[in-house]
Amino acid sequence: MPGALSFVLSVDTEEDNWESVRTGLSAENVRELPRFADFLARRGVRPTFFTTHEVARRPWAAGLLRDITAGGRGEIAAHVHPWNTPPFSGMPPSGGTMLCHYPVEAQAAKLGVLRDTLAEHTGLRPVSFRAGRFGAGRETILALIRTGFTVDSSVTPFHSWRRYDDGPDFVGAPTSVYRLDGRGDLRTPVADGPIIEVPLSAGYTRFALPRWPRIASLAHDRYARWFHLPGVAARAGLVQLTILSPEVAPIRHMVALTRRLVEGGASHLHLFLHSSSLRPGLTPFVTSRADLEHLYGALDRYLDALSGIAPVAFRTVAETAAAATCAPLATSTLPRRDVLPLVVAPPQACAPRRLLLVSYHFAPDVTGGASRWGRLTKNLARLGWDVHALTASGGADGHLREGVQVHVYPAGAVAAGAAPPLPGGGLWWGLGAGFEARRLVRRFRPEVVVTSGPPHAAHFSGFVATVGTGTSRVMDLYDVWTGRRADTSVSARLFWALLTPPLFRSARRVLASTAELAETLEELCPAVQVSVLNDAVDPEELPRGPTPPLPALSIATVGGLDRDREVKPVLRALRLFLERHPGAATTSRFRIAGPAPDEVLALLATQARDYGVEQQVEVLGSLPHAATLELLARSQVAVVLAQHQGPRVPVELYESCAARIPTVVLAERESATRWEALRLGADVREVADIEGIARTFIDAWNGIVPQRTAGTVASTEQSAAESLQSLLEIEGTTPAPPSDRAPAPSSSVESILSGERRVNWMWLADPPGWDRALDLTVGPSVLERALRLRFADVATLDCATAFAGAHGAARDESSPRLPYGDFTFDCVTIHGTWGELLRLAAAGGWSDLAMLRECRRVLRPGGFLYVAGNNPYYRRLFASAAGAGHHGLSKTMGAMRRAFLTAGFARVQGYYVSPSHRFPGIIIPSTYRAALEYERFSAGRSKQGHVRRILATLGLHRILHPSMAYLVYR
Amino acid sequence: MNRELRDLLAAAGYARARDDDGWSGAVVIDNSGGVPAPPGLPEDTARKGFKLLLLDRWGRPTHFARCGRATDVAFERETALVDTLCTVPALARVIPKSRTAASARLRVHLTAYLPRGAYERMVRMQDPVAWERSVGEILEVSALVARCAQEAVPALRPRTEHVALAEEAAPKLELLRTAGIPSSYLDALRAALASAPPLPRRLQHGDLWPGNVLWHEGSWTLIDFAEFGHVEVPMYDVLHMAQYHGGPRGPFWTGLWLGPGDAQDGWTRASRRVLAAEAEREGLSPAEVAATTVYYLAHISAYRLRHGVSHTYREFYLEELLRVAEALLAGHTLEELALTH
Repeated sequence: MPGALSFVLSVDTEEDNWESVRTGLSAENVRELPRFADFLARRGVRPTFFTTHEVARRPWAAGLLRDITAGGRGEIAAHVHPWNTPPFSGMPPSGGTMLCHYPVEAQAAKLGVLRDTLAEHTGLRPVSFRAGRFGAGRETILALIRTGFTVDSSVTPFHSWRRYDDGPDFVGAPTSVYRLDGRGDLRTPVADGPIIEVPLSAGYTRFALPRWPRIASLAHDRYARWFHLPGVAARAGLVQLTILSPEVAPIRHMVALTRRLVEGGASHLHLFLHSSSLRPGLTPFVTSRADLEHLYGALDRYLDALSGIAPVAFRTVAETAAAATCAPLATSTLPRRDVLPLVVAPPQACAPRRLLLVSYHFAPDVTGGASRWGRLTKNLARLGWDVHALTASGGADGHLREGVQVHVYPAGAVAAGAAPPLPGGGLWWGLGAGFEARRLVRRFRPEVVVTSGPPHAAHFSGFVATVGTGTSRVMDLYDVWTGRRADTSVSARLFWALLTPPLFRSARRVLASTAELAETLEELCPAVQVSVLNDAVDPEELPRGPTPPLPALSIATVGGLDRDREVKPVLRALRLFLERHPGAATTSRFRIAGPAPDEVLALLATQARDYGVEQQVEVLGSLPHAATLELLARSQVAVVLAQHQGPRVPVELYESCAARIPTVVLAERESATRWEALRLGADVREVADIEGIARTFIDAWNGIVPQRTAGTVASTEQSAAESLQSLLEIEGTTPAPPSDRAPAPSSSVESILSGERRVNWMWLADPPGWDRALDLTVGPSVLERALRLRFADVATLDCATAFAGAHGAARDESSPRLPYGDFTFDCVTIHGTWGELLRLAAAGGWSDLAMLRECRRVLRPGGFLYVAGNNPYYRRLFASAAGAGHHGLSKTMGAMRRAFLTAGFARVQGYYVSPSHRFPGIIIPSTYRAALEYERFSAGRSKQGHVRRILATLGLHRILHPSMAYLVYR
Repeated sequence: MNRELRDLLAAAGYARARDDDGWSGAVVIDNSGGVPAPPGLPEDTARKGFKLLLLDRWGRPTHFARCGRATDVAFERETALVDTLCTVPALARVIPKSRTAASARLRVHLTAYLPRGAYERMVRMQDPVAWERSVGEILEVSALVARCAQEAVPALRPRTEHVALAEEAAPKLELLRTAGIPSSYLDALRAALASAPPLPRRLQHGDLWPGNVLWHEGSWTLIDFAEFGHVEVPMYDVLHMAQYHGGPRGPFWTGLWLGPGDAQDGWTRASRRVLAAEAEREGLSPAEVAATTVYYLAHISAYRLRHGVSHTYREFYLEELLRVAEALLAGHTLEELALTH
């Protein structure tokens, strides 16, 4: 349609940050473009993406742009935000957001950098350009000419940007395509100018196009402005200045403007919007999911209306310039390289997932576990999630941090002590934040709400936010749920007793930072699925470059002090060290960073005096996080005070180990910290082992650095975020009830404690050989590492993947086909995934019997199938409707037994397992006498013990144990 | 059930182990893994093993089995000792019948199952008079075991007739020194122990507390001989045992045991009578009792330190020990601190 009216849709593809800033930038909104591109492609529209340097410099974003414009489906063009496009030379000029205020050399340099970055990352050299904030001037055109651009699209006719950082005035500019040479005003066409201007479509909703200059001069008249005549005229429906953008113009104005332009003989129509408007909350135009859907709807309706106004040809900016001027089409293809080393964005088959985090603390605040979610959300955003956070931490409401939109519900709303305290305090904040979170849920429609505590008020907020909405809620705890505090009133305890069960049961999953904490939480609320998500250290936060060491022996502890984590043992050890190395006294220092209550500091001063080390102790107080990490990196020894932490692992353990200096950890023998510290290669000491602590100091002084196992510190937050993503994706995207399977253990704590218990179980069960084992999983294998300790060869089969392929490939199969020969394995394990396996089999049209037969087929004679999962009797009793889907072994014991025998197995033995199949500490044959004798053997004289004995005597033993297991012999 | 385990259980006397269905007759208790030990496990975890409650074909418990690593020397010593003692006729009702079987990597210690009547469950319900009587009987049983052990196990026969407390306590005090206890305190304790005369050498159970004492068919039965014979200082068992009763657990040194306690308190008086009776039986003076108490405190503090017991259970003894040391540093003598009645 060569003679048809051109329709151009351009997208300012830019960073998330609406404000003109150079730091804290992210470009996650680009992940929304595939959906938008699909939408446009269905309507035949071929967009032009004016891309900023912040987007172009990210290989994944550039790759994504290249993909969605490939094959002539669109054009990639350049868009300069001068405040964050390099090079930066000296102070930006006054009005620094407008490119036209920069010297022409600076403009050309920025243009050159952007052009080269785009060329490098997309393989395409752009030919079209738009200035950020429409801030193009005469020199900009000169810079464009110098840098090889041929098309500009910065002019907005009848609009003046004088009031915005002294921007350009385009009142009187043509509405059609014209040429410029950079020697005159941008509003004045130059017949043979080398730059083709494709202005945006802007103008008035009424009157013929030739009259618009007159209307504009009237509207900009000083007296008319005094009397607000343009506004009055707009309100009266007389005439309205508008621009073709669904962000700011209602559809009726856009249609009216279009009619006027078409009637006036315009060469093209040019609609534009910002990419950041495609992710709600980033621009003032689209603040909610509803707004976004409205924007899509408006575009749809506008395109419908357009088709009734005039026939149009959908073109890119460069094509429009060529068509209007009969100039040869300036192609943006740059066949410099056949194959580009692109880092393509993560797969975006569907729209990005959305998550709302509710946490009292949030980064950059590093209190409690704030840093944990600061890092996790950052990496989730990088994995393509649309992440919002609601917090009491400081900062402006709605500000962006590392791709995360941070909403603030201030802590001032907390009326401390005025109500029954939540564990960690802040009921009123929890309530207020809950309503605020509920508003955010309506606004952004997250698929999952994650609450993190302590303070556990956040969990209450999440409960308030999601109850009745159908949104999944995941609770993350990095400390025990201490709802039954002895110092609270009776009413408070009653409040807790009432609140705790619904709070936990309505959660789809509970995340714990350690295996020990997970075990504690499982006991607190057995109906809920608890998964372990360890803390880690963010490599990006570690100091870069050389860190000169501090003089002499520099010891650092960075977690602060409190009453539980006393520092006296370190002072004693320091005293011992100084007694043996008196020469080190003058320059050696023990630096304590982090918060500390006054009374603890006073005690520290006294103790330091008592031990004669007051000269060596330096209290630094709370430091910025970066300074804390630098202190560790420059010290010779790190001390982690982890006394009385129970199932918690302080984050400073990871930070200290990441600093790669000798780390002494003071922790109790059975604490979670001890296990984790051992895994990380730290030196674990008990508080009374002063000699041992001093020995580490002496070794460090003598330059003896212990060899740490390579890779032990390499637990990155990226991997943690990926683990979290796999957990959350199950929650947010799978319509089926959540499975009871556990995620892959991310720490060796679990593998040492629980894995070894499971291994021991395997050994007791005695397979015919120790050659081959098969673990059938849905997702990552939980048992693999444990099995590998015993079996020579361990195969794991993710049935979610295997069956998905089989569904398509072999629908005619009457049973699922495991990709192994007959008699291959000594044992087959289904650990906590029984229910999910059956669902997968059912989805393929296969019965559970067929599934079992297939398991039997691959077993050697004498081999056994090991099936473990939640005890349905126990869960049914304690689980709510929400938790009912967590049943691992969905059938009754008799039905399970019948199914196994019908499938051809020779012998079935059932067992009750406590505290859970993941921690098989107690394994009881599922017979009346065995269960009763166990209760008689173990139960004390407590009321609970009496009740258990009575239940067992009455034959109700099957409700006494959380998990069950079957050994099914071939 | 694993064939190796089955064979060992059968060799130790659990007849049902040979049944095909033997695995359904075993309740696994306290499964901590580690047997046989896979590589890469911390030593203290790998050592734990597991325990089995073994049932007969009607589901009644008949045996209790402890399964550990064959290379665990302490476990080997304990099982050998118990296997020997249970054959002594005089101890037929005191030590349950047991037998051990071992392979190259697994050791199984099988004992006859006694219906669970641990004194631990009863002690809190006793009044001071009943408690005093029970403890007296238990101490007599313990003394009987010690005497029989000396005769039955040559290795346990005393090398010398007397024990020098300072010499015995030296390694414990050294361990406490490495834990940061000030040298002045330890010197004071060492001097006090050195001032005590040599005491008669007596084998002690070493972990005599109500959890290791069962009431079975009208007599007291002792279990858990892991520490048996390691301590040869008199009064150790009574000092350990007498802490567990139905009354409040008061300050060790100053209130309940020695020094001017509240004589009107029934539990205090009962405790002191138990102590006095044992001292009289051993022929010890108050100062010697005080010296054995110092040894006990030093030993148990060091023991719990070495074995990584939670500081909650260790700090109590350590504080008591430091309190004694402070009193000694203040110029008091053991006689002044000792039991006066």
